[in-house]
Amino acid sequence: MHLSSKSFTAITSLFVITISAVALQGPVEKVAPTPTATNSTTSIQGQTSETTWKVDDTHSMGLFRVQHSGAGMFWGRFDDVSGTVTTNGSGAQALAMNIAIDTNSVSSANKDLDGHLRSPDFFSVKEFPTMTFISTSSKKLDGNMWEVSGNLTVHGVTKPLTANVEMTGQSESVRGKKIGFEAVFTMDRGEFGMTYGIEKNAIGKNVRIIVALEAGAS
Amino acid sequence: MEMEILLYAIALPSFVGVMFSYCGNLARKISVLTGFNGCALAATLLLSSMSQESLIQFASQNRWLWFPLTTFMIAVLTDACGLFKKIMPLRIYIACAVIILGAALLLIPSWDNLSRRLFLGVAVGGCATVLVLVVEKRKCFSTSLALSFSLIAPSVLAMLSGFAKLAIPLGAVAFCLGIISLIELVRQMRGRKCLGLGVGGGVVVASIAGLGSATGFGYDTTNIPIWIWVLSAAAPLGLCLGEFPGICSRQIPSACARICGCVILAVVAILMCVLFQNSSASSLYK
Repeated sequence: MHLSSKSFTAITSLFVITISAVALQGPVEKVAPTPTATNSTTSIQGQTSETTWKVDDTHSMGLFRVQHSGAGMFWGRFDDVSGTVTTNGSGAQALAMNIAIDTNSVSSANKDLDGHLRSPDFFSVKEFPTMTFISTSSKKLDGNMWEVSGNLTVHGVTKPLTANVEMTGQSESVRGKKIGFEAVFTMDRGEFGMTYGIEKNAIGKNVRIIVALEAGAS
Repeated sequence: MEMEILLYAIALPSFVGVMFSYCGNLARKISVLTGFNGCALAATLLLSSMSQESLIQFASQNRWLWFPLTTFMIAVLTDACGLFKKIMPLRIYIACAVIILGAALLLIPSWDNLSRRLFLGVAVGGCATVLVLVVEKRKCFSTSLALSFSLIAPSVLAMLSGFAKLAIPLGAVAFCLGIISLIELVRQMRGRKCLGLGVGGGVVVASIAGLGSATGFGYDTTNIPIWIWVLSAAAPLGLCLGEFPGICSRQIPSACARICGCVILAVVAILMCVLFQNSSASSLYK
């Protein structure tokens, strides 16, 4: 096969350009595989039967956010979250939650403030050591989102409440099956009898609570 | 916010308390009544507490409100005894019985044991008996002033433990007592006879210090040692310093000793609490 001088020049030029482009781009990186399909599925995978997941208190926590002095947002956390999550794939009870938070585990990274948060001005931890959320129904939304309704008990008062729950992931390893959720809801603390600072607008009435859960199949 | 607390939680309840006390003193002049100083102080405590927390549903939540309610009951029953001449000599025994009943009714977390609450009632009743004997003997502005200083101890301890809702009403009662002592000082300076706090006042101060400290201890999550709470509850007993031989016979040294006794006990309790909290904080970050 004979190549004309024009064709040879064109092929050579193309080769040089390609080599140069690759050289300028740097080493070729392997494309990471996409996360396991469970992260993006629209339903809880493999749930033909009911599974009860026990909340891993080490890798679960609660956060709360409230407005301070009508200005900034103050964040605090609860370190001790426990309970169970039940999944069964479909129906109104596809996702059921029974979550308890130890109010004594409230933390704001300030010792004096923690003492105040534990006092009867706020959580009154000696009187009400736990706050609980027990679901009554759930509704599947788009993607990994769920709307879970239930009863929230804080400060000795129980009120119905709906939380937006995202299933953040599901995996299986040598440590067993794991599932993750993130629940977000807003509560009016005045309705639960925690009125300190509301009238004077020193501390906001509405508290946003985020509960991050990691649970293992029990 | 601070102005609103000063007005609604301290100034207004104290004003009501002083008015109560004044009306009671007027009644003392015209009849056998022994005044309403107990009710005056208890009303200040209750009104100030109500400015902090709604009384609605106090039985199921905000159970610390049992403390001002119990104190008010003690005050009403003790002052009511003053209406009946026949039982006047028995007032102190009746007052002690009422304190024990009041302590038994208290709802303090982790104090479900009735015998523990009865022991608290007996201890506070004992303090009240001693206090009433001194209060009745020393009808002087210095007595009210000393008791005013003594109530600062449980108030500050409650504040240091993070329980502001309890600290403010206790502070309001201390403020009310301070105003009452000023009024008595003015009366004394005008050469009039000082009426003193009476049995009701003494009983209620002992109840507020004792039951208030117990409530603060029950709700405390900062682990302030119990003996510091006991010290703050016993601060009104500093009055007894003015009864020491050699001092008790002289008016001015005795008055100074009463004030010093209460101030010393209160300051020691507060200092111990601050030192304890600082030491526990430093050990936390070692």
